[in-house]
Amino acid sequence: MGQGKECVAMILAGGQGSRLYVLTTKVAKPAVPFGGKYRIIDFPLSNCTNSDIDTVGVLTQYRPQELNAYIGNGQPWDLDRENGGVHVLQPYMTGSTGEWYKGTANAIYQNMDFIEQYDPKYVVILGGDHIYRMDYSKMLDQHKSHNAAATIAVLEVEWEEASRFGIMSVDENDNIIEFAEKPKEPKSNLASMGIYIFTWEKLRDYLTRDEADPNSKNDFGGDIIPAMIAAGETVVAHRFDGYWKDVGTINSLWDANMDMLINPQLDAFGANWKIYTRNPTAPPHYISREAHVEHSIIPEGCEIYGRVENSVLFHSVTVEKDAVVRYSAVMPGAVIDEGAVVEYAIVAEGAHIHAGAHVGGDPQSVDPDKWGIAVIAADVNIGENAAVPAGKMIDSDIEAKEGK
Amino acid sequence: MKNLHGIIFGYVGDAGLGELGETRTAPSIPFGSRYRIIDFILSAMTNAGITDIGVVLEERYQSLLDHLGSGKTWDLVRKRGGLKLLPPFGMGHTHSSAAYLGHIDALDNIRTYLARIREDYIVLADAMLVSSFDLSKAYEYHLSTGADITCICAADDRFLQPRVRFTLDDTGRAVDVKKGAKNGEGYVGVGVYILSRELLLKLVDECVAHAQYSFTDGVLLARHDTLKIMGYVVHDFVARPDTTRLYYDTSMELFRREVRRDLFPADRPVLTKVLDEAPTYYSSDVNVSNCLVSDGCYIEGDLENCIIFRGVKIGKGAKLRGCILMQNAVVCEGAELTCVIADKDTEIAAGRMLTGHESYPIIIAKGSKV
Repeated sequence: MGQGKECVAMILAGGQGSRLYVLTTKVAKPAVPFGGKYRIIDFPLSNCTNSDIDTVGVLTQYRPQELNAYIGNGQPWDLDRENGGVHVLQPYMTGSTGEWYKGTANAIYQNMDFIEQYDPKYVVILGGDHIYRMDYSKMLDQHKSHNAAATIAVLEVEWEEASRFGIMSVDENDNIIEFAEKPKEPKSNLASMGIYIFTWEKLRDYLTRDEADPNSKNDFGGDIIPAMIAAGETVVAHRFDGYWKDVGTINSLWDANMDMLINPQLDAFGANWKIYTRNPTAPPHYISREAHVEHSIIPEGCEIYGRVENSVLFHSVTVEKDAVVRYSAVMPGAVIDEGAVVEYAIVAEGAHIHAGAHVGGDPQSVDPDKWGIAVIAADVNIGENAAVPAGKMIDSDIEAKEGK
Repeated sequence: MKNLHGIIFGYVGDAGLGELGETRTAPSIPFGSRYRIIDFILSAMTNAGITDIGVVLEERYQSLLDHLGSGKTWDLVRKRGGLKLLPPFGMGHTHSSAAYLGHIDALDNIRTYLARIREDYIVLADAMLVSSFDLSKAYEYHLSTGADITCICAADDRFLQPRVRFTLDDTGRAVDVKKGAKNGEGYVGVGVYILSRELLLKLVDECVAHAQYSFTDGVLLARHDTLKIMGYVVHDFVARPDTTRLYYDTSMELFRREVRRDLFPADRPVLTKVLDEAPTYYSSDVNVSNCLVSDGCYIEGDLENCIIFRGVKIGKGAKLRGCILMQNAVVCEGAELTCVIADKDTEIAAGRMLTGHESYPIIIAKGSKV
């Protein structure tokens, strides 16, 4: 039994991220590189640190090795603590039984013992696949002042997009009166951000009851929250107006990377809300005489001899002479050889685009219905002069073609 | 365990680095866009498998303490061994001032530390060395030749002041040792020596008894006839940037791809304190040519032949040529700088023009506003 904690955060990082296809064949979604030097999970972890939450459980399930190694003892996020700190929680066996997490609520239910050892008053539940900066302590203040059982962070979205989200209807005091998952005819445009604060005593009751219900899908949005509202508990909306992006799809992941170039709200240069990450050991980046760089993010370890425009590079990327990288995210250690072109693409870690190859295509160059972001999986070789059309996903080597 | 212990002399008696050295001891001076000079020898030691390292401090070492911290960066926080910082004891019987009379004097100051070292061999190293040579190979050489002392020498001494020059015979043994010889045969020493703990203790005691406080004079010059002193020549990039000119010239060498490959080998990384900066952003309409840039910068101006440290901001229309800008320097719109070394936290106001020359770069002292 540790010293008590007022608040414990639980990050749901078990998602397979199947809609990221080839990018998540080897790693869980939260471990996918993002924004030049981060991984997706750096955002909720850093938000916890910056919100003075020092006890965090990370619930993993799918391909956890890389995530486990990445989080390690939590030192990069200042979460290596004697009391509290970050803990990676795997599904486990109890006696002869044991099972994978059935749903988000079941994942927390299975780890109640972890939470109980800190005897917390409140529990923060976070997703592992969102890009945002948020002060959870403000949300907690609101939760306390409303004496709420649950507080849900919400974001105003465009009405036409509302049917893609979990939508909250609220009364004049922002009490949530109805929750609808992806409603066809939304009654409100307040979307759930998948960030919840619960009074632990209440949540523990509802989790236990939910577990006993064989018809439940054991999901926070689908089961726990509606049950609380139905029982007349105080469930409050916490309005957030900063940048928030779900990066669950190839397009949204690419969009969010491009947002890093322009988004002042996610101002990566704000000194007071740093996003911490396990830093690679790489020398400073080098921009050569022949190189041209504009409107791009370039981190350490890169060697740039070609053109980089409107792109987010990750550490230790090499762009050789006469190569062009446009509107793309190029992940750690990828190499773009002489004369190769990479546009509107995501190139994963360690991929090698050989000389003269062409990856991706301009939206204007093809039928808009067929256009998409080209994706090259980790460690894949695209042979000399080979072409990967817009929207194509490549997860194995492509052989070289004869010269043009 | 490697059976090798590192001792780093974290000070320089006679550095000619002007304002850069006023606020800190020279090995703590920022170098190469994100490092401090001491990072190179510290990393060379840890990359050679050394886990016990003592850093001898002399004066103006606050900046060095802050940089080294617990040693976590170099994985030197250990239950057994790890990083030990060795400030002056302040009760030296040889003299009363803070400055050591030489490395022997400094070693005598930490004699009790030396006597307790559990490894049989010790590598003594000047902290002012910019090189990523493979120290483990030099150690193997020392063991295989049965040398009393192995002196690391540079094949390429363009970026070193020739303090000690070794004339080596066919076997690599030093048959002559000269001090300060500008040109001539032989190899320039880089200030790194491998010897046994036993011999080191004996030499310290003997030298102190004879009032010989310099390692060069008391050991290398005085005893090369009686001791088996071997030279181990490294062909890697080696520099000792202890004057402003050498600091500037060495920095400009980093633009060469082969020098970077040599100095930052993938399997022996140079480690430095992490600052959690965001990656660097380049705006549209910038011209950046032949530059080395670290994380956390926001660049809207033109750069040519520049070394840019972490967290630097370059405003629109600013033009910089041959400049070195250290951490968090800010250059406002339209400023034009040529051959300027701006120390940490400096600010150059909009439209200012400053022009130095390769042979005489202008230094802007830490925290100044122009």
